[in-house]
Amino acid sequence: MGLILDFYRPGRSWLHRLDPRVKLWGMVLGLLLAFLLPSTGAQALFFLAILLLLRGNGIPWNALHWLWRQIRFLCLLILFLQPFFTPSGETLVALGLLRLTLGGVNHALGLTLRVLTMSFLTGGLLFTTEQRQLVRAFVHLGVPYTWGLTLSLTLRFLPAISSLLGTVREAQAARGWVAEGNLFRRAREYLPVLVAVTIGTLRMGDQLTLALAARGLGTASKRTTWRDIAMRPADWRALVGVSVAFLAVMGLLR
Amino acid sequence: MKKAIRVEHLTFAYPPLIVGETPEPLFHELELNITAGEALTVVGRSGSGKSTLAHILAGLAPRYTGGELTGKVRIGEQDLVAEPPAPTAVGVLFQDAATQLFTSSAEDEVAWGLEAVGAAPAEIGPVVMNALRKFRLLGVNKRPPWALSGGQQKRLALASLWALRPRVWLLDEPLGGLDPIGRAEVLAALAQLRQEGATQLFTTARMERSSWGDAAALLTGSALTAPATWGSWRAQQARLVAAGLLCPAASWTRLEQSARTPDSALALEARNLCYAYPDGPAVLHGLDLRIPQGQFVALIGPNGAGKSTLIRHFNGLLRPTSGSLQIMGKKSRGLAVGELARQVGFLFQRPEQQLFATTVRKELAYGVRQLRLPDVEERVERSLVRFGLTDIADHPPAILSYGSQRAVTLAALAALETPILVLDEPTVGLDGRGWSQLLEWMAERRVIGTTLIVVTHEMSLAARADRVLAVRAGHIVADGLPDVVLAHFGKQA
Amino acid sequence: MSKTIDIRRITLTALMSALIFVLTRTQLSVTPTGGYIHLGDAGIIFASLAFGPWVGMVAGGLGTALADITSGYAQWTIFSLGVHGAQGWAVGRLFTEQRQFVSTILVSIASMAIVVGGYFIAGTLLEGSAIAFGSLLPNVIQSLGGALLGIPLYFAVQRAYPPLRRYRQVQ
Ligand SMILES: Nc1ncnc2c1ncn2[C@@H]1O[C@H](COP(=O)(O)OP(=O)(O)OP(=O)(O)O)[C@@H](O)[C@H]1O
Ligand SMILES: Nc1ncnc2c1ncn2[C@@H]1O[C@H](COP(=O)(O)OP(=O)(O)OP(=O)(O)O)[C@@H](O)[C@H]1O
Ligand SMILES: [Mg+2]
Ligand SMILES: [Mg+2]
Repeated sequence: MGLILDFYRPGRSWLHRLDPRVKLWGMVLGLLLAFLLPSTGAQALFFLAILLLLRGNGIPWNALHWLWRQIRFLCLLILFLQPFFTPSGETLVALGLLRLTLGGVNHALGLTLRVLTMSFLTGGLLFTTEQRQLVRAFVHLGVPYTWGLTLSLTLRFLPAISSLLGTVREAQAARGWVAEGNLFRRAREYLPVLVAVTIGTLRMGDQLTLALAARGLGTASKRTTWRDIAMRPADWRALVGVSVAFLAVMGLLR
Repeated sequence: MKKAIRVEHLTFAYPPLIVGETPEPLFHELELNITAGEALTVVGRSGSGKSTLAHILAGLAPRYTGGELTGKVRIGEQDLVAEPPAPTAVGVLFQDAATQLFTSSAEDEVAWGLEAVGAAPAEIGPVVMNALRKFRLLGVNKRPPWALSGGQQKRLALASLWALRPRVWLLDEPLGGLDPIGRAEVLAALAQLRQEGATQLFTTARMERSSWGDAAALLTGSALTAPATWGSWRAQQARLVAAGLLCPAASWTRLEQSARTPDSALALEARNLCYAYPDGPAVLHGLDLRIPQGQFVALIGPNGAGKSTLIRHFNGLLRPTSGSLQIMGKKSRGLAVGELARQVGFLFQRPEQQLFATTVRKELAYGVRQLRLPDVEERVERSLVRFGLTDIADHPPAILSYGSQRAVTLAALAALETPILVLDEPTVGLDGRGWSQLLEWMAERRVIGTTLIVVTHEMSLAARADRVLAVRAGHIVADGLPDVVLAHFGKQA
Repeated sequence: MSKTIDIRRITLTALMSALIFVLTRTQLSVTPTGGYIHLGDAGIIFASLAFGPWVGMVAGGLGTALADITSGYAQWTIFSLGVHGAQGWAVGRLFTEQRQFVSTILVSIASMAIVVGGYFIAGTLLEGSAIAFGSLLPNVIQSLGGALLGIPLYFAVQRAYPPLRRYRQVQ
């Protein structure tokens, strides 16, 4: 199936070493900006800046290429369909009722760039941050430890359940199970597989409960953390930096 | 002498699985005493409650499982009924080590327990490194636990327990599902713990393989027998067989006597078979193989050699990347998985995971119906009788004990009555009775000319085959009579 | 006793999220607008019916949001969290064992309304009206199919694995 579950690409770049809280903050501001930028040109500049940021911090082309492969179909669709939905300005081509307009094309381009920007921004966070660091960041930002634990357990058990689904599917196939025919038939055929996988998941949960309890979850009044994240002066500077940059762009836009 | 574990008049029952039923207690007036520094092995059939006993001694049952417990359970001076033991007092290695590991890297796994008990952050690092070194895991410290081999997973679980320095160790089937190399690794780690003076309680489902510990006690009839030395148990073969803990010699003999001369027609023929996983490594490198109908072939080889990959070609789950494969004289490329399933019956690793039906009877009928085979009712009844499942034919299979679930998966396979059977590590986790059932069934099928292809890490089973294939790194490195092949390759497989 | 419930709740929520994630990534077919029909909704409906609104909400939101991030559709993350979280909560809330038939119909309708409506609004914001309109029908099929599969799944698991009832207390 080729599920990619952990995006982290080890490295020592500036972005890698940046405190994950700062990265999260930067991503939130970036996403906001992607929605607020008014012109297609500005969107293009912003996307270019993000590309440079990612490349400058040692994220390999193949990682970025993978992201692009995931969304390229969507991008092309937006580019080709959206102009006809929001016609405005000078008409370039008219096909009966459908009008391809300059304004429409411009709008579609802007939308496409925004989708790209959002996807690559998130990629930037995930490619440079270990999962445990991200969870620590959430906990430091006030998310209760048990929620953070729930998140890391979810991530940890993705491969286990994914391979459970794989084995059950193969095992049922060996007994003549096929998922064929139209969509609804195919969905119904999945029932025997889903029942087995669900039961397996519940069992895994029981085991995990015992394992967590046996290792002392909730025994100490205060948990400690090995290799916790901490804000260095450079992190504070970066925090101020992105915030000021955001405000400056907002000021320019007004 | 100081007692490390003291259990008196222990009676325990799980809550009913089906609302309204009153379950029989699993343990009744069970007594157990282990002196500090001693090692005791508990031998019990599948479903006798070995894991449950370990969970009770770790303070997990009934606290986290539900159920009724009466009697006294003490670890050292501590009363477990009143309060659960600290993880620094008792360490438990679960039967399924994979679910016991729940963080995203080996070193985090070891650190987690220390964090949970509130160890000072500066002290955690050295302890983690020490534990990883001790259990020889330094090279894989950053790897996620699910990407480790079975033996490494068990050792990582041991390392993360060791970091907390428990005095009492509960080891639930520590060698289950490991290949000979993994077994040797874990045994070495356990021997080391032994030298440090730990009190150990092992469990195992079969008498044969286990020879560690000072003494063994049998878990039968919802209580434990008095411990006795290994020597004295070995002298009581008949009793062990009756208790279902030892596979009777008669079953082995029957398998040996079922040998017949194979036909000249071929069941399987592979020519220059190569396989690479999509976006993955090449796993099989040009295998040539001819298996006549009616032959019993054992496939051996270390973990990751490509055994499962090879046999998954035999029922069409995988298609060769290049080369050809013929099954019963037909090219596999042209056959759908459904068509192949009528020729090739397949038992997967951990087959109990596939159980889904509301009754055992429906579970057996599923495959027969899907493959549109004739005489559904008769096949199902025959199979139920053959595997002694008539009494529980209307129970949901998913709530049966492990041993019965394995019997159900065998019965479901048997009902298809295919001319070729492919079994992937069918003996994992079986007790003596399970072994006996499996061997007898294989013998029956062999007599009527079924082709048997069995992947196994059990050399005693491979030794009974007509022919042994040793696979290593995607090549067949040896192919011949068991005596010859096992003499060379039996150790590593 | 409260501690007991705490751990079981964590593990149950985490594993249901993981299950929903894996089902969301199990594609049955690709839709013309670049999305895909998957089994995720069936997982959400199951989790909500079996374990109630809170587990349904967290697992539904978390599972699908993670699936979006890891498939490159990161722009959808927040919206999936919201839409499927609301779906899980509503399904768990509306279902009652006493009036199974009526409440399963109610559940299917509510679940479909939330998903189709939510994704239409989010889609317009994110990818423009063209894609949002184009996704309407696939989303109807997706969520209706999810209910048609998730509801039988719940009853089938209940019969194949009666201890399912025991997890109820976790709510
Ligand atoms: N949580 C539970 N609720 C109800 N019954 C249970 C539960 N866990 C186990 N059982 C039942 O209790 C019995 C003992 O189970 P246990 O897992 O302790 O056996 P075991 O000796 O370890 O077997 P195995 O060789 O399969 O590991 C089995 O019949 C099992 O079905
Ligand atoms: N779905 C898959 N995708 C990619 N690689 C795989 C896949 N399944 C197995 N492999 C790889 O193929 C190799 C052979 O695996 P296989 O499961 O065939 O070994 P095996 O001999 O059956 O081992 P074991 O004794 O552990 O069952 C291993 O290196 C494994 O990592
Ligand atoms: Mg057990
Ligand atoms: Mg294998």
